[in-house]
Amino acid sequence: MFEMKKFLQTVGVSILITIIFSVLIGFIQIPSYGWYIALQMLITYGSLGYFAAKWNPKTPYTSAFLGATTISIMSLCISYFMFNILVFWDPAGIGRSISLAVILTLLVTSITVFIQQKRAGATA
Amino acid sequence: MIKEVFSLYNRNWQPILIWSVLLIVPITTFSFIGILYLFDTEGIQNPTYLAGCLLVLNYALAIPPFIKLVQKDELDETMSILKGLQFFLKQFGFILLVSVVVYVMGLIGMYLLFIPTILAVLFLLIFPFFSDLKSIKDVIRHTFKKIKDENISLIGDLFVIIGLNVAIWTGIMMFLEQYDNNVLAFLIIRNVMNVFILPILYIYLSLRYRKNDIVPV
Repeated sequence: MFEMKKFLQTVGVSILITIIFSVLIGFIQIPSYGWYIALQMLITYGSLGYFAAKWNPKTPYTSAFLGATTISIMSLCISYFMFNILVFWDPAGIGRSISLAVILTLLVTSITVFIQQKRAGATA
Repeated sequence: MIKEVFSLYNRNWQPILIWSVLLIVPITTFSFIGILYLFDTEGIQNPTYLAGCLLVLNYALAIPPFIKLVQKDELDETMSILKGLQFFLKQFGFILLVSVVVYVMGLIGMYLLFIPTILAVLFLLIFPFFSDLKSIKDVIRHTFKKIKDENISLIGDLFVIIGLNVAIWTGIMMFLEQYDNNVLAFLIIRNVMNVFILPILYIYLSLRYRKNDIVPV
Protein backbone atom coordinates (compact mmCIF):
# COMPACT_ATOMS: atom_id res chain seq x y z
CA MET A 1 0.00 0.00 0.00
CA PHE A 2 1.08 3.54 -0.71
CA GLU A 3 1.50 5.36 2.64
CA MET A 4 0.81 9.09 2.41
CA LYS A 5 2.50 9.98 5.70
CA LYS A 6 5.70 8.16 4.77
CA PHE A 7 5.63 9.93 1.40
CA LEU A 8 5.38 13.37 3.07
CA GLN A 9 8.19 12.30 5.41
CA THR A 10 10.38 11.48 2.40
CA VAL A 11 9.73 14.87 0.78
CA GLY A 12 10.42 16.71 4.04
CA VAL A 13 13.71 14.95 4.74
CA SER A 14 14.86 15.66 1.19
CA ILE A 15 14.03 19.38 1.60
CA LEU A 16 15.82 19.50 4.98
CA ILE A 17 18.95 17.83 3.55
CA THR A 18 18.96 20.36 0.70
CA ILE A 19 18.68 23.30 3.13
CA ILE A 20 21.50 22.04 5.41
CA PHE A 21 23.72 21.21 2.44
CA SER A 22 23.16 24.62 0.84
CA VAL A 23 24.03 26.42 4.08
CA LEU A 24 27.20 24.35 4.45
CA ILE A 25 28.29 24.80 0.85
CA GLY A 26 27.71 28.55 1.13
CA PHE A 27 30.85 28.81 3.25
CA ILE A 28 32.95 27.46 0.38
CA GLN A 29 32.64 29.87 -2.50
CA ILE A 30 32.19 27.93 -5.72
CA PRO A 31 33.03 30.19 -8.66
CA SER A 32 30.53 28.84 -11.21
CA TYR A 33 26.78 28.65 -10.62
CA GLY A 34 26.40 25.65 -12.88
CA TRP A 35 28.39 23.37 -10.63
CA TYR A 36 26.55 24.68 -7.57
CA ILE A 37 23.11 23.99 -9.05
CA ALA A 38 24.18 20.59 -10.37
CA LEU A 39 25.48 19.58 -6.93
CA GLN A 40 22.30 20.79 -5.24
CA MET A 41 20.12 18.93 -7.72
CA LEU A 42 22.12 15.75 -7.27
CA ILE A 43 21.80 15.93 -3.47
CA THR A 44 18.06 16.77 -3.46
CA TYR A 45 16.82 14.20 -5.93
CA GLY A 46 19.39 11.58 -4.94
CA SER A 47 18.28 11.67 -1.31
CA LEU A 48 14.64 11.72 -2.44
CA GLY A 49 15.12 8.58 -4.52
CA TYR A 50 17.02 6.79 -1.77
CA PHE A 51 14.50 7.54 0.98
CA ALA A 52 11.55 6.78 -1.30
CA ALA A 53 12.88 3.27 -1.77
CA LYS A 54 13.73 2.95 1.93
CA TRP A 55 10.52 4.19 3.54
CA ASN A 56 7.95 3.08 0.96
CA PRO A 57 9.23 -0.39 0.10
CA LYS A 58 5.90 -1.61 -1.34
CA THR A 59 5.56 1.19 -3.93
CA PRO A 60 9.00 2.78 -4.42
CA TYR A 61 8.56 4.05 -7.99
CA THR A 62 5.18 5.75 -7.41
CA SER A 63 6.55 7.48 -4.34
CA ALA A 64 9.71 8.60 -6.18
CA PHE A 65 7.79 9.94 -9.19
CA LEU A 66 5.22 11.84 -7.09
CA GLY A 67 7.94 13.24 -4.83
CA ALA A 68 10.07 14.46 -7.74
CA THR A 69 7.13 16.22 -9.41
CA THR A 70 6.02 17.72 -6.07
CA ILE A 71 9.45 19.13 -5.24
CA SER A 72 10.09 20.54 -8.72
CA ILE A 73 6.65 22.20 -8.89
CA MET A 74 7.17 23.60 -5.38
CA SER A 75 10.54 25.06 -6.38
CA LEU A 76 8.98 26.62 -9.51
CA CYS A 77 6.19 28.19 -7.44
CA ILE A 78 8.67 29.51 -4.84
CA SER A 79 10.88 31.05 -7.51
CA TYR A 80 7.84 32.69 -9.13
CA PHE A 81 6.05 33.99 -6.02
CA MET A 82 8.92 34.59 -3.59
CA PHE A 83 11.96 35.43 -5.72
CA ASN A 84 10.02 37.06 -8.55
CA ILE A 85 11.72 35.09 -11.36
CA LEU A 86 9.34 34.74 -14.28
CA VAL A 87 9.77 30.99 -14.79
CA PHE A 88 6.29 30.38 -16.16
CA TRP A 89 7.14 32.27 -19.36
CA ASP A 90 9.42 29.45 -20.44
CA PRO A 91 7.45 26.21 -20.86
CA ALA A 92 10.40 24.34 -22.39
CA GLY A 93 12.47 25.10 -19.29
CA ILE A 94 9.72 23.76 -17.01
CA GLY A 95 9.50 20.56 -19.03
CA ARG A 96 13.29 20.16 -18.97
CA SER A 97 13.56 20.67 -15.21
CA ILE A 98 10.70 18.31 -14.34
CA SER A 99 11.91 15.57 -16.68
CA LEU A 100 15.50 15.85 -15.39
CA ALA A 101 14.24 15.60 -11.80
CA VAL A 102 12.06 12.58 -12.53
CA ILE A 103 14.81 10.77 -14.47
CA LEU A 104 17.40 11.35 -11.73
CA THR A 105 15.05 10.25 -8.92
CA LEU A 106 13.88 7.12 -10.72
CA LEU A 107 17.50 6.21 -11.52
CA VAL A 108 18.54 6.43 -7.85
CA THR A 109 15.40 4.54 -6.76
CA SER A 110 15.99 1.71 -9.22
CA ILE A 111 19.63 1.41 -8.11
CA THR A 112 18.54 1.30 -4.45
CA VAL A 113 15.85 -1.32 -5.15
CA PHE A 114 18.39 -3.39 -7.10
CA ILE A 115 20.85 -3.27 -4.17
CA GLN A 116 18.08 -4.16 -1.69
CA GLN A 117 17.07 -7.18 -3.77
CA LYS A 118 20.70 -8.30 -4.11
CA ARG A 119 21.16 -8.04 -0.34
CA ALA A 120 17.95 -9.92 0.41
CA GLY A 121 19.00 -12.61 -2.03
CA ALA A 122 22.47 -12.87 -0.45
CA THR A 123 21.15 -13.32 3.07
CA ALA A 124 18.34 -15.72 2.20
CA MET B 1 -1.18 23.98 35.12
CA ILE B 2 1.60 26.59 35.07
CA LYS B 3 3.26 24.91 38.06
CA GLU B 4 3.17 21.56 36.23
CA VAL B 5 4.77 23.14 33.16
CA PHE B 6 7.65 24.58 35.14
CA SER B 7 8.28 21.36 37.07
CA LEU B 8 8.36 19.46 33.75
CA TYR B 9 10.81 22.03 32.37
CA ASN B 10 12.93 21.64 35.50
CA ARG B 11 13.03 17.85 35.22
CA ASN B 12 13.98 17.86 31.51
CA TRP B 13 16.05 21.01 31.10
CA GLN B 14 18.86 19.25 29.24
CA PRO B 15 17.04 18.08 26.07
CA ILE B 16 14.87 21.20 26.04
CA LEU B 17 17.87 23.54 25.93
CA ILE B 18 19.67 21.49 23.30
CA TRP B 19 16.56 21.33 21.10
CA SER B 20 16.16 25.07 21.53
CA VAL B 21 19.66 25.65 20.20
CA LEU B 22 19.49 23.04 17.44
CA LEU B 23 15.90 23.50 16.24
CA ILE B 24 14.29 26.76 17.36
CA VAL B 25 17.28 29.02 16.65
CA PRO B 26 17.80 27.93 12.99
CA ILE B 27 14.06 27.99 12.24
CA THR B 28 13.71 31.48 13.73
CA THR B 29 16.78 32.70 11.84
CA PHE B 30 15.45 31.40 8.53
CA SER B 31 12.00 32.90 8.99
CA PHE B 32 13.29 36.28 10.22
CA ILE B 33 15.81 36.67 7.38
CA GLY B 34 13.16 35.48 4.92
CA ILE B 35 10.74 38.16 6.15
CA LEU B 36 13.43 40.86 5.88
CA TYR B 37 14.24 39.68 2.34
CA LEU B 38 10.57 39.71 1.33
CA PHE B 39 10.04 43.28 2.47
CA ASP B 40 13.30 44.50 0.91
CA THR B 41 12.68 43.05 -2.55
CA GLU B 42 10.72 45.01 -5.12
CA GLY B 43 8.18 43.42 -7.42
CA ILE B 44 6.61 40.94 -5.00
CA GLN B 45 2.85 41.47 -5.02
CA ASN B 46 1.87 40.64 -1.44
CA PRO B 47 4.85 40.27 0.90
CA THR B 48 2.60 40.39 3.99
CA TYR B 49 0.86 37.10 3.19
CA LEU B 50 4.15 35.29 2.56
CA ALA B 51 5.57 36.73 5.80
CA GLY B 52 2.52 35.42 7.65
CA CYS B 53 3.18 31.97 6.21
CA LEU B 54 6.78 32.15 7.46
CA LEU B 55 5.57 33.16 10.95
CA VAL B 56 3.13 30.22 11.04
CA LEU B 57 5.94 27.86 10.05
CA ASN B 58 8.12 29.39 12.77
CA TYR B 59 5.47 28.44 15.33
CA ALA B 60 4.57 25.00 14.01
CA LEU B 61 7.76 23.28 12.88
CA ALA B 62 9.54 22.61 16.19
CA ILE B 63 6.58 21.09 18.04
CA PRO B 64 6.97 17.26 17.62
CA PRO B 65 9.90 16.58 20.02
CA PHE B 66 8.07 18.40 22.81
CA ILE B 67 4.92 16.24 22.46
CA LYS B 68 7.11 13.16 22.67
CA LEU B 69 8.82 14.61 25.75
CA VAL B 70 5.51 15.20 27.54
CA GLN B 71 4.30 11.71 26.66
CA LYS B 72 7.50 10.12 27.97
CA ASP B 73 7.44 12.24 31.12
CA GLU B 74 3.94 11.02 31.92
CA LEU B 75 5.34 7.47 32.04
CA ASP B 76 8.31 8.55 34.22
CA GLU B 77 10.81 7.92 31.46
CA THR B 78 13.54 10.20 30.17
CA MET B 79 13.68 11.26 26.55
CA SER B 80 16.99 11.04 24.72
CA ILE B 81 18.14 14.04 22.68
CA LEU B 82 18.89 12.11 19.48
CA LYS B 83 15.46 10.45 19.50
CA GLY B 84 13.83 13.87 19.57
CA LEU B 85 15.91 15.11 16.65
CA GLN B 86 15.00 11.96 14.69
CA PHE B 87 11.34 12.52 15.47
CA PHE B 88 11.64 16.12 14.24
CA LEU B 89 13.20 14.89 10.97
CA LYS B 90 10.34 12.47 10.43
CA GLN B 91 7.53 14.97 11.07
CA PHE B 92 9.11 17.91 9.19
CA GLY B 93 7.61 17.26 5.76
CA PHE B 94 4.13 16.52 7.06
CA ILE B 95 3.90 19.72 9.11
CA LEU B 96 5.51 21.86 6.37
CA LEU B 97 3.26 20.73 3.52
CA VAL B 98 0.02 20.54 5.50
CA SER B 99 0.46 23.96 7.10
CA VAL B 100 1.30 25.60 3.76
CA VAL B 101 -1.76 24.04 2.12
CA VAL B 102 -4.07 24.99 5.00
CA TYR B 103 -2.64 28.53 5.05
CA VAL B 104 -3.36 28.95 1.34
CA MET B 105 -6.89 27.63 1.89
CA GLY B 106 -7.37 30.18 4.67
CA LEU B 107 -6.13 32.98 2.41
CA ILE B 108 -8.55 32.03 -0.36
CA GLY B 109 -11.31 31.75 2.24
CA MET B 110 -11.09 35.46 2.97
CA TYR B 111 -13.59 35.99 0.15
CA LEU B 112 -16.15 33.83 1.99
CA LEU B 113 -16.75 36.14 4.97
CA PHE B 114 -13.61 34.90 6.81
CA ILE B 115 -15.32 31.69 7.97
CA PRO B 116 -12.78 29.29 6.37
CA THR B 117 -10.01 31.58 7.62
CA ILE B 118 -11.06 31.17 11.25
CA LEU B 119 -11.31 27.40 10.79
CA ALA B 120 -7.87 27.35 9.14
CA VAL B 121 -6.31 29.36 11.99
CA LEU B 122 -7.76 26.98 14.60
CA PHE B 123 -6.59 23.99 12.55
CA LEU B 124 -3.08 25.46 12.30
CA LEU B 125 -3.08 26.04 16.06
CA ILE B 126 -4.02 22.47 16.98
CA PHE B 127 -2.94 20.01 14.28
CA PRO B 128 0.83 19.96 15.06
CA PHE B 129 0.02 18.55 18.50
CA PHE B 130 -1.62 15.52 16.88
CA SER B 131 1.04 15.03 14.22
CA ASP B 132 2.50 11.90 15.82
CA LEU B 133 -0.59 9.80 15.01
CA LYS B 134 -0.25 7.09 12.36
CA SER B 135 -2.47 8.26 9.51
CA ILE B 136 -3.52 11.67 8.17
CA LYS B 137 -7.20 10.80 8.56
CA ASP B 138 -6.66 10.31 12.30
CA VAL B 139 -4.89 13.66 12.60
CA ILE B 140 -7.72 15.54 10.89
CA ARG B 141 -10.43 13.69 12.86
CA HIS B 142 -8.78 14.29 16.23
CA THR B 143 -8.14 17.95 15.40
CA PHE B 144 -11.76 18.67 14.50
CA LYS B 145 -12.93 16.73 17.57
CA LYS B 146 -10.70 18.93 19.73
CA ILE B 147 -12.00 22.09 18.05
CA LYS B 148 -15.58 20.95 18.79
CA ASP B 149 -14.80 20.06 22.42
CA GLU B 150 -12.93 23.19 23.37
CA ASN B 151 -14.71 25.60 21.12
CA ILE B 152 -14.70 29.01 22.84
CA SER B 153 -11.63 28.56 25.05
CA LEU B 154 -9.40 28.16 21.98
CA ILE B 155 -9.74 31.92 21.48
CA GLY B 156 -7.95 32.32 24.82
CA ASP B 157 -5.03 30.18 23.61
CA LEU B 158 -4.83 32.17 20.38
CA PHE B 159 -4.80 35.42 22.37
CA VAL B 160 -2.04 34.10 24.62
CA ILE B 161 0.17 33.10 21.67
CA ILE B 162 -0.39 36.21 19.56
CA GLY B 163 -0.36 38.47 22.60
CA LEU B 164 2.93 37.10 23.89
CA ASN B 165 4.56 37.64 20.52
CA VAL B 166 3.09 41.07 19.91
CA ALA B 167 3.36 42.45 23.45
CA ILE B 168 6.90 41.27 24.18
CA TRP B 169 8.22 42.10 20.71
CA THR B 170 6.69 45.60 20.68
CA GLY B 171 7.82 46.19 24.26
CA ILE B 172 11.40 45.29 23.43
CA MET B 173 11.25 47.33 20.23
CA MET B 174 9.92 50.46 21.99
CA PHE B 175 12.86 50.27 24.35
CA LEU B 176 15.50 49.46 21.72
CA GLU B 177 14.33 51.74 18.93
CA GLN B 178 16.32 54.70 20.23
CA TYR B 179 19.67 52.96 19.69
CA ASP B 180 21.44 52.28 16.41
CA ASN B 181 20.83 48.58 15.88
CA ASN B 182 21.61 46.46 12.85
CA VAL B 183 19.99 43.27 11.54
CA LEU B 184 22.21 40.99 13.61
CA ALA B 185 21.13 42.62 16.88
CA PHE B 186 17.43 42.26 16.01
CA LEU B 187 18.04 38.65 14.95
CA ILE B 188 19.73 37.79 18.25
CA ILE B 189 16.97 39.47 20.29
CA ARG B 190 14.30 37.58 18.36
CA ASN B 191 16.14 34.27 18.79
CA VAL B 192 16.52 34.79 22.54
CA MET B 193 12.83 35.70 22.85
CA ASN B 194 11.72 32.60 20.96
CA VAL B 195 14.06 30.33 22.94
CA PHE B 196 12.54 31.65 26.17
CA ILE B 197 8.89 31.58 25.15
CA LEU B 198 8.31 28.75 22.69
CA PRO B 199 9.33 25.67 24.78
CA ILE B 200 7.11 26.77 27.68
CA LEU B 201 4.25 27.39 25.26
CA TYR B 202 4.71 24.01 23.55
CA ILE B 203 4.76 22.12 26.85
CA TYR B 204 1.71 24.00 28.12
CA LEU B 205 -0.30 23.39 24.97
CA SER B 206 0.66 19.74 24.64
CA LEU B 207 -0.30 19.16 28.28
CA ARG B 208 -3.58 20.89 27.54
CA TYR B 209 -4.48 19.07 24.34
CA ARG B 210 -2.94 15.64 24.86
CA LYS B 211 -3.45 15.13 28.60
CA ASN B 212 -6.38 12.72 28.37
CA ASP B 213 -5.29 10.50 25.49
CA ILE B 214 -1.62 10.01 26.08
CA VAL B 215 -0.81 6.86 24.17
CA PRO B 216 2.86 6.07 23.62
CA VAL B 217 3.41 5.27 19.96
